[in-house]
Amino acid sequence: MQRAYIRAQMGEGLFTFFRAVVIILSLLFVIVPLVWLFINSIKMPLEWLSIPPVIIPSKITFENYIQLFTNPYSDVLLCLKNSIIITLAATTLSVLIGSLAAYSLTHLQLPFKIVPVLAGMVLLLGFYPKITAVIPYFVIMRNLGLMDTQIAIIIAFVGLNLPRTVWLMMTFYEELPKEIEQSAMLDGCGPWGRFYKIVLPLAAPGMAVAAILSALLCWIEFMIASSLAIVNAKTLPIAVSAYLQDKGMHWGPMSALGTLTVVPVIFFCIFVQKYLVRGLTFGAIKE
Amino acid sequence: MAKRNPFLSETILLLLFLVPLLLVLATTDLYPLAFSTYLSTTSWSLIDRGASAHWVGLSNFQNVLRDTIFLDSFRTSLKFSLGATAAELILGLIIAYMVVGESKTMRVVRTILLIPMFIPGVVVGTMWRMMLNVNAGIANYLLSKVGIPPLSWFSAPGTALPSTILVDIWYSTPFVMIILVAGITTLPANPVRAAMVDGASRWQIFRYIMLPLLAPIITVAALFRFIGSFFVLDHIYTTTYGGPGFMTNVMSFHLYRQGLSHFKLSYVAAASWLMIGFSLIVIVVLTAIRRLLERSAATG
Amino acid sequence: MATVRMVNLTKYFGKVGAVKGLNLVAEDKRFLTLLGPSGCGKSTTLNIIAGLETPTDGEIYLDEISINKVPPAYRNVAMVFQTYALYPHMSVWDNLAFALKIHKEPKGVIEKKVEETATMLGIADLLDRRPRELSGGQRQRVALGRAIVREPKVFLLDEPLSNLDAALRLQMRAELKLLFDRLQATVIYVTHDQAEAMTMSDKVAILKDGVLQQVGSPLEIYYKPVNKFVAGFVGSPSMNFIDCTLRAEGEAIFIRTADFELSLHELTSGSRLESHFGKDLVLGIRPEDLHLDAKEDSSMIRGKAAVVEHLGSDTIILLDTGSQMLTLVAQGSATVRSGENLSVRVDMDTIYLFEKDSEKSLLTPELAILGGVL
Repeated sequence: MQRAYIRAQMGEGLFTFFRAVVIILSLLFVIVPLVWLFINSIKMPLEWLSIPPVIIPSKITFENYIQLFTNPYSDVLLCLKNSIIITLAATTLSVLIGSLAAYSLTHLQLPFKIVPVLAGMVLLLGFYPKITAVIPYFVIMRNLGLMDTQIAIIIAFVGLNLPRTVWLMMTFYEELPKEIEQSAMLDGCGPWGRFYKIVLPLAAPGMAVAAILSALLCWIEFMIASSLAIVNAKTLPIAVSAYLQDKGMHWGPMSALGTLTVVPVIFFCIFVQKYLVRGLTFGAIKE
Repeated sequence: MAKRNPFLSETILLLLFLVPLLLVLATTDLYPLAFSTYLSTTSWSLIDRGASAHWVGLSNFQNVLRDTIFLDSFRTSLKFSLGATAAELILGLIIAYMVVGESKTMRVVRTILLIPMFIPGVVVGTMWRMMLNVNAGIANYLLSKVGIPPLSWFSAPGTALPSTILVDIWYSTPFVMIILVAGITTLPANPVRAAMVDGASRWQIFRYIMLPLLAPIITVAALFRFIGSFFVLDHIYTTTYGGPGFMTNVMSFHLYRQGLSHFKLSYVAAASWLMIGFSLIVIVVLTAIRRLLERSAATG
Repeated sequence: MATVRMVNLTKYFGKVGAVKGLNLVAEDKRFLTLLGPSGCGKSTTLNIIAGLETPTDGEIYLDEISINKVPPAYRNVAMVFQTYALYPHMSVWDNLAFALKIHKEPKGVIEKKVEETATMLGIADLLDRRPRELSGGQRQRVALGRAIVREPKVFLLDEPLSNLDAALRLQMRAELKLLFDRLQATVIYVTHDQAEAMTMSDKVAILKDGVLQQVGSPLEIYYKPVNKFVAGFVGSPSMNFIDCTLRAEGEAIFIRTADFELSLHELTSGSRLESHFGKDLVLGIRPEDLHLDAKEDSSMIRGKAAVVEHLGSDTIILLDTGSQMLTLVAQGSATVRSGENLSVRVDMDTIYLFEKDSEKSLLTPELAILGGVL
């Protein structure tokens, strides 16, 4: 027993070492690029493209950030504003509409299994390639005269978020014990009352998760936004890609712009990591 | 006056709840999909807003399937997806195994490791583009420090696709990791403890107990990543823009370009339907595999 | 040789003490049961012995070698979990063979051991099945088989019968006892069911809130409980407890309760009780020690039969004495009707006395009839 036991202890020690290595390497892999992005954003123009690259800037400047906003040709401020408005609007709408619809789908009784099929179709709509809808949607908006408006993008984003939100809220509703609503029913409460006063407060964590995931998606979405926005409704991701195309070698401001999009995400992550994990993994495991 | 059936009024109210959802989805999904079908079977032109459109049956589909660039983009996407998915699954699994645990440290580690997946794809691309710049990028600089000659990353045809896979790995492994962490933490604890008492080493427990039980959820992650990476666009847009040449011209990007730059709308519509068909096949196959694996891992 | 010795074993989960200073020995080839209500620390103790938990303090010795730091895989103990913990994705055969494969036993040896064990447990025809295809009883046998096939030094069983239905449980009790007698193994068994503990064990250790109350043979525990908790935990229906005081009248000692008074015959223990006169005490009488054949003497309790339960083999009567209910068990079918006034005789040789505060035992039956059993 002794010899095998000593070998096992060595094995366990080796594992602990291996584990530390993996964790440190992963952390470095994630952090180094982000840090370098930030460093790039505070470099003086001379040092942007130096060969070999400068790791510790000789002089720090925030001029890059200022340039983003004060440059007369830059519309970063506009894009930031658009991103914020669109994200807030689309998130609110998708959570509201989605929660309401999910309630209906979990409570509605119709013959011939209509309801499960309907729910399934809604869910399925979350799985087809965006590119399929992008072009027609582009044409539709063009014809409606809503091209390049925030509204067009908001509607598109709501549509993008709804299937997942509905799915999430349905799973949350199913977790609630039926008895709570049944006793409300006996007390004479109608569906709207039950939804508003009982189910909604209890499903608030689910809504939080849905809101977080929706907000994230709106903030980072590029494909659809870029197809619909030309001048006025541009979002932050569009600003980034535009910057790349126009002034791809201006690493300073470009990195500043990148940092600007990343920093809110990091803060967001810190605040909501608990909810994030739950929401992301909910569906996958519930399978 | 007949008394209103309470169930009827309740049903009507519930149906009303569905109205906003159906309105939005009709606008953003159903109508576009229907329009796409229309586009794919007609010769629609943007110039005259479809005035001269006429039915062409399946000829758009045939054109797409005969288009060598399309087929090439399909191959490229396949290579990309397979490479990225495989790498992300393996790395995701290893990392997930290492970072499970309720301790504060591990929670912080997991939060940090999650960050990449929430950064806009275009920013991820931009960031890596700068990092992998052959001359001024930090990647080659670090490699030179350990004696490895500089790589050409995005600039050379041979290394461009692997470089984009690298970017996707940075971008999407966190997603796989967090799914697998959740999977590992919801594994039944007792078979693992029984194996510990039975004398199994850590590796043996992982290989014979945990892995078989995780197989279903690994399949789910694989499905998400394969489909997800197939439709990737954002970081390709800002790293290689499909190049050099057509080396990283993945399908989504190809169609995006055809649609929004060349306005070949019918082509894109037909191609998208083919893509949908392909993803349905993949979903069906992987779901079947998952069901099979789930049955054999069902708790006893 | 396979003796497990626990010395001052302590385990705290945060501020909660699951096991406190446990000193206990599981002797070689003997069946030791850890008995107690849920939360008393018995499962935690078992987990510590298996190596699945590390003690906060204290030592564990297996054959006098300290195994505190030894990982579970190397302790040569086998554990049967309450939920069986079978490997769900493996067949019964693979489940049984797993440990042997891990230890790299040759194929022929594995086959032989698995077949033998399966036959011994009557599951030889189930070897191809998966756990989810088996009934509870069958799964439990597989769990047992997994442990047996390893030929470990010590068997640890964590409430293995609690997930079975009542009839199966009784049957398995006897089977397990026979099995472990045959195997001549050291067994540490955890349960909250006192009947299981009484019928299967060589020694019973009763725990409450992480503290060992008493350890002894089943009959010792039953007839000589060291405190009120043990007395009340073992025996079903459980012992009646009545608040009382002692008073002396000349040579005679009387036990006075709210509803009745009993005269304590002159027993050798009478003198021991002198210091407790006037203090608050608790009288303990087992339901089977209350008899319906009352004669006119002073060890009698009067009351009204509030509830009469006819079990066929016994009759359980709830007696309302005025200020509380007493339970009594009569053999066979008693002709008692609900609401009837009863006079019940107490066999004063069989009563217990406890201190009210400390709950320590002051008086236990001097039972000559048990002769050399205790």
